[in-house]
Amino acid sequence: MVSLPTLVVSLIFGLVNGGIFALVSLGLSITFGLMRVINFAHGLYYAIGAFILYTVISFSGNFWLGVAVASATGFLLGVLSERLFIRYLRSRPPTFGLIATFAITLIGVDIIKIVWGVNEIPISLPTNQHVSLGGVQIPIYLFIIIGATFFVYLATQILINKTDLGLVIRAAIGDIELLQALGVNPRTAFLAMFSTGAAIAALAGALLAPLSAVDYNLPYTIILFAFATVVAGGLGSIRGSFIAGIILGESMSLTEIFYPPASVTVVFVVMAVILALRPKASI
Amino acid sequence: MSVIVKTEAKQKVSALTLFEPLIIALIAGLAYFVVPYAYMRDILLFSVYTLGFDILYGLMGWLSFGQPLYLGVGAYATALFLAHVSANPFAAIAVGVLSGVLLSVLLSPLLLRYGGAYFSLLCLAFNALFEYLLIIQFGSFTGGYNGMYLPIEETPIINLSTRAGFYTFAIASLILVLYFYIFLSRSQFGVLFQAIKNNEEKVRFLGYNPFTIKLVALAASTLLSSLAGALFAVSDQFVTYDLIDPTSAIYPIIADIVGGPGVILGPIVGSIVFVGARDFISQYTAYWELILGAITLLIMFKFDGLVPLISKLRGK
Repeated sequence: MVSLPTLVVSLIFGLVNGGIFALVSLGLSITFGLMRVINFAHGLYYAIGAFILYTVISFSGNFWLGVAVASATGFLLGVLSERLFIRYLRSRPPTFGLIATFAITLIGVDIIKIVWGVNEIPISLPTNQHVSLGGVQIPIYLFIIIGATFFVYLATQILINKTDLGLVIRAAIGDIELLQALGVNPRTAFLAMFSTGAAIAALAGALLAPLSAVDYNLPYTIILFAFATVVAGGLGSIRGSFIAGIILGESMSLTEIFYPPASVTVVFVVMAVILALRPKASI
Repeated sequence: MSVIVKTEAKQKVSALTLFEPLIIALIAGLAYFVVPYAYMRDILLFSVYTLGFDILYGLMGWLSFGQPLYLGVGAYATALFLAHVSANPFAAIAVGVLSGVLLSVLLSPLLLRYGGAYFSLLCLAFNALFEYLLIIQFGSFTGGYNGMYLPIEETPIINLSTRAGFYTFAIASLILVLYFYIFLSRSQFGVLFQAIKNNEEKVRFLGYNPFTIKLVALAASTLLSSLAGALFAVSDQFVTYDLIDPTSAIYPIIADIVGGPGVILGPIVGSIVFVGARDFISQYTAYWELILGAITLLIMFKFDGLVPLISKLRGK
């Protein structure tokens, strides 16, 4: 029988994983809603976040500085990729963009191999403090990740629902031609939103780095979970992605207690079930 | 309505098209004596694999982002049959192909429910799901990440455990596959695939059931791709997770895009370029995927594939 503390720990880990899925999917979902582009290369920002964190730690020894630099790098990469390729994909069918960004991922992964090598990179927790719960030790760091996740989600919601930039974004998702007819050029809004999504992905990659295996496969592993999340949550919906992320993370974590080998499988099964149950009209 | 569709479809068949598979087979047969075996074998099997992908993408415009699922299931079903039921390779290949098709039919209600980007992502998700099931969940049966070796018995007339025997069989399979592709693309279904590509709603208004059409395309695509997987398994007498690895979903896509989607020569030319580039570039650098990615981007943005490019140049 599973004890209560074990269950609580598992639920906390579920929130951590789910929060990370949600953060990575956020940018992916916005990009689709705004530009009808599915960016397979989104996993690269996540991975770069983890690798930049490693590099900054090895130079400065400061974990949090690393997280900040990682997010900033993600933002810059977002600006670069939007200007260099994403904007040319807007006028093409989504499948074209999917293939093109996969080709970019191939290039990016090889660049990661060239810069950081092919071996797994160790990154240690920034703090070893624990909370004790019924005899089980829970690292404080987990709560920091969960806090950061909810903070970023709320900040994005405010950005989209309460600011002028968000107004343009919402209008562009609704009817971009009407928006342009009103004399608004959404170019800057696209760029800002895309880069923010990339920065959030890099932040997520950096935050989860001490708890995950950081190597050149990272862009592929994370993008599979991110796709499962956006498909379950509905492409283009931030709230949907967030809820789906938490559900998938929790299902993964709970399966881990009862039958560990199935924990990854269950993510995709739950996604399939959500899809099957959802009315078709909601797509 | 369907009568008009049929006559239009039939006009396109020229005598050359009907001989094309035989010419390709002849060239492939002669190449056996000149080009290294490993290279030729990969081209033949990869062509079958990519032709399967092309039925969905080239003919119907649906991008499968999980074609390794069918390659892998074809290979693993063949492998498990060989290891546990009978060492007869022909029976095993048949089982591999049928398992792949059966799986796609079972997945179709969910897989075909949503079109466009959802289809692509669902293909990828199912690919990932079945990789975990086969390699990790049931790793004790399939050898997990170490793969499994297969016993193959010697058969009279065509012995698949020899190079010459297997090569002959692979060429025969390619001829059949090419005629199947021609038959399918020139049949009423080929025209309906095209119609789905252009406007699915209109197809529904014409009185057709789009689901049936899409199911035919999916099953036909799976048939070819799992045949390729079964052939890889028998030829290597070994299967490993590489065959079902979702990150290799891009390989048939690249081959098809580079060669030219929707034309029968496209997947073949693409496979020659892909296998060639992979083997050639990787002799010089470990970063062959970087160069392959760059080539793909160039061809995607500048041309519609090599085969259409060549015919355009010839036309001028």
